[in-house]
Amino acid sequence: MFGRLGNWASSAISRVVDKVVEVAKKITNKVIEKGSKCWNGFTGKTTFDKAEQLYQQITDRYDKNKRDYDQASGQLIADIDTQVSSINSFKQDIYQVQFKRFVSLANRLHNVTVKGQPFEELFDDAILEAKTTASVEHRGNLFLIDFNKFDLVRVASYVLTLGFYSRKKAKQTLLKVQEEEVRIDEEITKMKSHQRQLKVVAKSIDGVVEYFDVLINNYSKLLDRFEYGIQSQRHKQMVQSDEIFAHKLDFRLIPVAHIEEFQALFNLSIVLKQMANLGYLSESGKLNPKDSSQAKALFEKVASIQAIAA
Amino acid sequence: MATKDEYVQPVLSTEQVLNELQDCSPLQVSKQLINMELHDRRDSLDVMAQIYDEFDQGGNVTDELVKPLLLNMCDGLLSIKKLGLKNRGITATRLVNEIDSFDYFSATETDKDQWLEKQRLDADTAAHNDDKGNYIRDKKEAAPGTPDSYMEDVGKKTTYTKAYFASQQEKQEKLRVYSELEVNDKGERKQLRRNSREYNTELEAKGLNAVERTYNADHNLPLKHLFDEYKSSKALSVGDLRDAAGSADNFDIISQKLNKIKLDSSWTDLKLKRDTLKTKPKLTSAEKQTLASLEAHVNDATWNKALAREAEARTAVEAHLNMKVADKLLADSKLMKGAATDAGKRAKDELVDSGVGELIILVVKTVSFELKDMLQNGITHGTDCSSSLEAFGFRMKRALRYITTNLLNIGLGSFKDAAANFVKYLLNAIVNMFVGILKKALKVITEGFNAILASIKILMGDSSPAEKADAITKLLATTVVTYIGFAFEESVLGFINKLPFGDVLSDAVMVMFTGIASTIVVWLLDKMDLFSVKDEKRAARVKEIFDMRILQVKENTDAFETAALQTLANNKLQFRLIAESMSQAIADEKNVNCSVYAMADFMKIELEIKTTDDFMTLLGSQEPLLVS
Repeated sequence: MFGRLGNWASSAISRVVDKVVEVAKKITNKVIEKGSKCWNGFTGKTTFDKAEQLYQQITDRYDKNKRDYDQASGQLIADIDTQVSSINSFKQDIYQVQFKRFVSLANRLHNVTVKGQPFEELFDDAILEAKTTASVEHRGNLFLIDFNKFDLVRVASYVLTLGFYSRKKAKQTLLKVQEEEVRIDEEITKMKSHQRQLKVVAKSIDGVVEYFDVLINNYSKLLDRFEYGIQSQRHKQMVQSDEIFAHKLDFRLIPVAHIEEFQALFNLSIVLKQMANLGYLSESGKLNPKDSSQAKALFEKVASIQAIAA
Repeated sequence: MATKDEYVQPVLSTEQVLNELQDCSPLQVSKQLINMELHDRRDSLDVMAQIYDEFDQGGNVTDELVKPLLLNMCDGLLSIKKLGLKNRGITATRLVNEIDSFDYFSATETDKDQWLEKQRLDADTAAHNDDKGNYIRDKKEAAPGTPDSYMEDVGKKTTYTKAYFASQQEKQEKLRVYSELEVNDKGERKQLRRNSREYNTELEAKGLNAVERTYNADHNLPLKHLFDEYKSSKALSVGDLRDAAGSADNFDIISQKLNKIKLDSSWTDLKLKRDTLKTKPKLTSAEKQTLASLEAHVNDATWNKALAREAEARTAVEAHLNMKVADKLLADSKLMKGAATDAGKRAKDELVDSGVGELIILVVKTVSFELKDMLQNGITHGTDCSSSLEAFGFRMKRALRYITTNLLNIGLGSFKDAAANFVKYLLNAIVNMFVGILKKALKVITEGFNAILASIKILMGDSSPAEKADAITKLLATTVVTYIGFAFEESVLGFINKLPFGDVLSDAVMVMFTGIASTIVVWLLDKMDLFSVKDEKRAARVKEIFDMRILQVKENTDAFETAALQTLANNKLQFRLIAESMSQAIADEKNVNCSVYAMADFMKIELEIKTTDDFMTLLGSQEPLLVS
């Protein structure tokens, strides 16, 4: 019985003690909270905290954007790389397959030579990569004061200068971080701008690939037609002459439609050769120079064709 | 520094990009797109460093310190009274600054000179001192014209003494009383008696000193002292002072001996006298005697009591007098009217003086701007005139027009200043009617009147809080420096006056002294930059420039993208149309040449063979065909 009473008493006492301790803790916490708020305002730590927060924020923002940019631009550059290699193989195809075929077919009518080599474009990432952007400045270059390092001399200096010194440093720090924020904004803007530029470039290279693809296809079909025509003309002229194997076909004897095909193939060869000798990203390999007035006239012509086609 | 030209990004418009892309072959569009610069490719750290440089260049000691200091010296020389420039508010500093910063686009403003303002205020204060004539103690000595101008109210003294000697238990007066101030070393109060022939003889028979044991009713603040200290108030008559002096708080019953030692000084003065005598190395015999009797009759306990009583008496007397002033100000309309008339007159006089000064400055700065411009840039510069004569006429007309339009500004400014001055002087007049501590407290308002007005103006302005704090700190610092200068005036001038030409130089030296001091103080404050105003300005500049650059990059990218996509779409459409008709022609076994030429045209490739006839001729020539 006494034992139980003792238990009750001791638990009651411990409850009261707990309560007292809790209240005391609450009060001290409150006092510390209020006091530190005052102190932080006085020394400028509040401002410093703001600066730290902002610094963290811009570092995160920069890192995220840089990561996104690196990933996106890497992908775009890889795409462009693929397209450039397919352009290179188109170029090889033009010389190795299409021109060989054209020359052997055409030679039955007339001597044709193709001079030169396809220009193999060596893809260099450097043309497409932006100049390395300057990342967020190191913390040490922006923070003129560090409240996280605590020692007595510092605290004494805060108090002795009535907080003027540390408040000023904290404010300067915040301003510097704010300046850094707009600089980082510029860097991010440049990254985004470059990414958009790359996207457009990739799109235009896609277009070039299509030019090659479609034109080579047409060229080859035209060659088929031409081959058929030449073949039938040989049969025709063979009937008339025995020396057909010794001589070339006489162009004056074949119908004009085949001559027109030959002309079209010849001109298209020139177009394809120009295309095969051109670099699409680098400076080397240029189109045959033409003065701009002619170019303008041609542009108008194209426009009129377009109008007719439409 | 204000230009942004060095930081501008190149501007790219959609039209520009379109034109560039249309001028080149569709085969070269990619290359063109890669090479197009959407921004100046300048390192942002470089840009930042350049902005920092802009702000660091400010450390020019000649401009910041040497020039202002030299101008302070000139201010001093110009302020010599005989030149008469000072009263007009014309100082070298102001003149040079006005000339330097002159342009035709900003309106003229009136300005105030701290030193001059303080001098005028002091003159105003001096004018408010009332002349109450000489100190007269007794009623019978008062001049017949002014019968009320005596200080001692004997009746009150008698009343006080009677009350002190009155006994509560008995009807008869007490025979002995305690001195109110004197205490012996054991802490016992000294006993005093009324003076009587019997008592005197009794004491003489015992060989004791009657003077030490006889009571006196002493004015703690002596009548003469009180008269001198408070006579300057225009609101108080001698009668008012007499009333205050006779109040019960100002009476102490002390021994006749002590009263004789004290005479017309207050306890504070007496203590001061003792302290100086004590530290003085060589004393005359009279001084020795004074010191000895002070030491003999006033011990530390007595000093403490006396000084405490004096503080009480002073508070009571001043409260009494200030109440009186307040009553009179409310009741006596003549008093207010007189003060207002005086303040108005003073403000008007200053208006004339400063108006003339402002006018001189206006003319001088306009004319010297023209002269400077003519010498530096040539007479026709900026005038759109061909002949010198014509240009000169144009310049004179321009100057005259500026002066006439700004006359109104000056007039308005001067009137505003005059109105402020009127308020200030009226306040000053009222403040000077009060006495003692209250007056000193109120003085802060009038002395700091200009600073307060200027502070309000700063606070109402639209600058940042830090800039406001900075401006107010500087304003207060210069005000304080000017006042400190005045505080040291006597000691400095005392020294200067001993020098040759000292009397002429004395004005000059004080003006230089305070001018230089405030220039240095402001320069130091500027260097310390307590509120980081400089950093704030730099940060604002950084933001402004980067915002501008960022916006341009965005706009360029938009323009680029729009134009590029439009061109690409266009090219694709054209190519497909031509390629379509080409493959159609191939399939239908029709003439393909038309589409081949169209394709070559589209790709801006020149073909030498333009017609089938050309081609036939070429075939006929037996020359090999060259694909090139």
